[in-house]
Amino acid sequence: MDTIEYFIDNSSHIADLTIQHLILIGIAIILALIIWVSVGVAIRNKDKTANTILSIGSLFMSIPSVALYGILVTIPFFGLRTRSAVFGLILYSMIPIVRNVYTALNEVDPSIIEAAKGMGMSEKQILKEIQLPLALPVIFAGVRVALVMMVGIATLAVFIGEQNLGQLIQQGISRTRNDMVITGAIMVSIIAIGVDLLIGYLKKKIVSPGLLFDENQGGR
Amino acid sequence: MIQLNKISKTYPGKSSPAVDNLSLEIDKGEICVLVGPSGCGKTTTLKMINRLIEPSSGKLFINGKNAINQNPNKLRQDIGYVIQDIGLFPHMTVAENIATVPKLKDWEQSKIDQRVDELLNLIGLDPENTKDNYPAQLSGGQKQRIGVARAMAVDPPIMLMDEPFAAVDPITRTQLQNEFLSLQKKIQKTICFVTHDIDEAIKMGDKIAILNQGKLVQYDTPENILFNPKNEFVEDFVGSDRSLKVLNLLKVNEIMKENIPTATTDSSAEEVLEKINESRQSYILIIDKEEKLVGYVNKERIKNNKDKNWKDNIKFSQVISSDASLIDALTRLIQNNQSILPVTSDENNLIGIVRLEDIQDRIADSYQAEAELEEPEVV
Amino acid sequence: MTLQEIIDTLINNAPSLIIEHLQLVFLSVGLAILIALPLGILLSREKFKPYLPTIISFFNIAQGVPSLAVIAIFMPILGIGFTSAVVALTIYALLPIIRNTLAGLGNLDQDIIEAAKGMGMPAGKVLLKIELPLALPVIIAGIQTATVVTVGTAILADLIGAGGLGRMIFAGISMFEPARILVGSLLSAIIAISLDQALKYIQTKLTVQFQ
Repeated sequence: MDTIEYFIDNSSHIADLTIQHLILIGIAIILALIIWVSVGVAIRNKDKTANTILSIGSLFMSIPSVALYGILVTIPFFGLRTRSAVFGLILYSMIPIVRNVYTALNEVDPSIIEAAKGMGMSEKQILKEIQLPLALPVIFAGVRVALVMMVGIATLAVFIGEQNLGQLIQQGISRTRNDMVITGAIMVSIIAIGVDLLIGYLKKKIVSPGLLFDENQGGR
Repeated sequence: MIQLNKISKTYPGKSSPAVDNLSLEIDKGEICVLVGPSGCGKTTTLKMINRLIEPSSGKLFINGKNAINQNPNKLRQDIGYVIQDIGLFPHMTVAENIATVPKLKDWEQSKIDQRVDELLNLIGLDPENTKDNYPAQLSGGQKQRIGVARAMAVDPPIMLMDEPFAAVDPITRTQLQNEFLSLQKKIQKTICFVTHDIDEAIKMGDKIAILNQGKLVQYDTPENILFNPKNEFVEDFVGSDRSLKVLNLLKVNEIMKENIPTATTDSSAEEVLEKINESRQSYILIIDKEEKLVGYVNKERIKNNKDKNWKDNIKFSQVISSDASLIDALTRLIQNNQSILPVTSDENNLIGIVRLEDIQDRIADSYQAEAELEEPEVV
Repeated sequence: MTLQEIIDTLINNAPSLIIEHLQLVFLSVGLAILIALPLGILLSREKFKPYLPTIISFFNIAQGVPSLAVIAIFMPILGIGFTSAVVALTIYALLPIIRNTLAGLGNLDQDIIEAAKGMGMPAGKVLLKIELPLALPVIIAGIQTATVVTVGTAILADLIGAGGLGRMIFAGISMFEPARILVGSLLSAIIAISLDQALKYIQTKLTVQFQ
């Protein structure tokens, strides 16, 4: 009951924090997509470079987020607040996005590539019209993982001065206010589930129906 | 139309060439089948024609033009390409798949739509029901037909086919082979066809090129490959059952008996019996008013069941089309334990029959030819 | 932030906090294994098969709850201190282990199990001698994820007074002493990476052994 009361009394503050939260994630995912999809495409034919890059990425993944933020804020360019927060989120999304782009591009059935080449498509046309559309479902899966992860990790950016839903939880803990903690936790979980649903919806809209038969009832 | 002039290919890090100094000329409108054991260089040779594999040395002329100094993508857009795994694009509909090369060539959409319908009709699929389907919704045979249609989209004069029917089941394969042969009669493409199956080579080829270890061993008509093998390798590769293989070359209509006695469905039992007696057979084929085949009845069964309606004794029979090969006919006869096989048109009209004994006579004839062929060695 | 400050922080504050941090991690992950493994095995049995997709998607959603929220939610119930932190961390670490146990046991080649049963092996033996050894690499991978996550979440445990390296980092943040933030962060990163690599090594060893 406290929680509902708190929620109603502070709805505009909560809305502000939610928007801040969404903006942070929005900026981070856009930059992450631009950077990591390009990297994934660039390393698609270079196994050795890919291995190096992917092991660097998995190293980032195992650094605790608070620790990564802690390290970033001591670097002069990043400092407190947004730059560090965004950069940290981008680093964490490296593995799910780069790995999925790289493997999906490489897992396209060689006979499909051969057919495309044999029909006179150039390397660029094959990438744009065949490989990327075919890789989309797997890329979407990677983006989904990255985004859900970002929603959670973004809460920790409060410790380096960001204002978002993490603030409710952090202040709730320090003031032992359960209503704030629970409100924050529920809001963050709702965003995570919402983002998950949104990606699922976009996937259905963007991915060719020809690739979704296995997931529905299967072809003939 | 296609001219390979002393073409060689040596892969990096290999000491011996995959294709060695190979010269071959394929005439317009002909199917040339490249055949040989695995690793003989047949696929490499095929892929050098559209330069998916670049030759290490030698010359390649297509339609009189040097193909080596053309833009490879432009070159490939004018050569149809069909592969074993088909390689249909799963994210595109049937229509979009077929439209791939026309789009690369910037055709207008209305022209593309028209061409897609035309091709689907040509390969015997209903455009309205198929063109918006995705490959995942098609059967193996349908996929293969779409693969062929896609390769013919811009009506290229040349088609390359790399084991195009190897991935389907034997029954569908025979069907696709027959369909393709009758299609080829209409479209008259210059075709280079790779297979490892000598039976398929004999059936499909106007000419057969036998390759071994990157070298062309013999380039000849199927008849000559069968009965004038150039050396022991060709002889072994063709195998000892040449006389059976010759059945791949012969068509049902070459030994079909026409004007056979029939009875119609509106005759009485007595009339049917009389007709059977006249024909001096133990059975008679039954047709309906429109001369479509219904089945056959046995003399004994009519006699023994006189009290019943004779039509209950009509049995369904396997049939064959007149342009099928004799090997198909033989297979069907043996599988169904029949001694005759009615020959019907596409509309199920009875045209004639093939008899097992006539096929056997043909086999005996070619045994004779084979024996004569081997005579010089005996003497 | 000078080098001297960093070295001082390392010598004076770090050792006891590292030990506390490791205690939090080992205790929580150890408990999590003890609970999650039998639970995962139980849920993978034939009886629960129809519910498996639901169970797995529950764990997937639960995994999405932010670590900060998990720590925070248990605080009102359990109070503050080392013990409550261990309980919260244990519950959070359960998820990846159960999930991977289910995945590892669920994706086994059914022919192998059929063959074992066909030879007259009792169910318990099939589990012990066939299923668990084959699923072990995937289960270890789950433990690996759980460990890395716990090292990170244990930092947050300081917010409910459990100590560990979080104490150094948060003290550094509130007093803005970059040396403390950096040392605390680097140390926890090093712990996470080392434990991750060690478990990865064990996991590859096990996988190779089967191939």
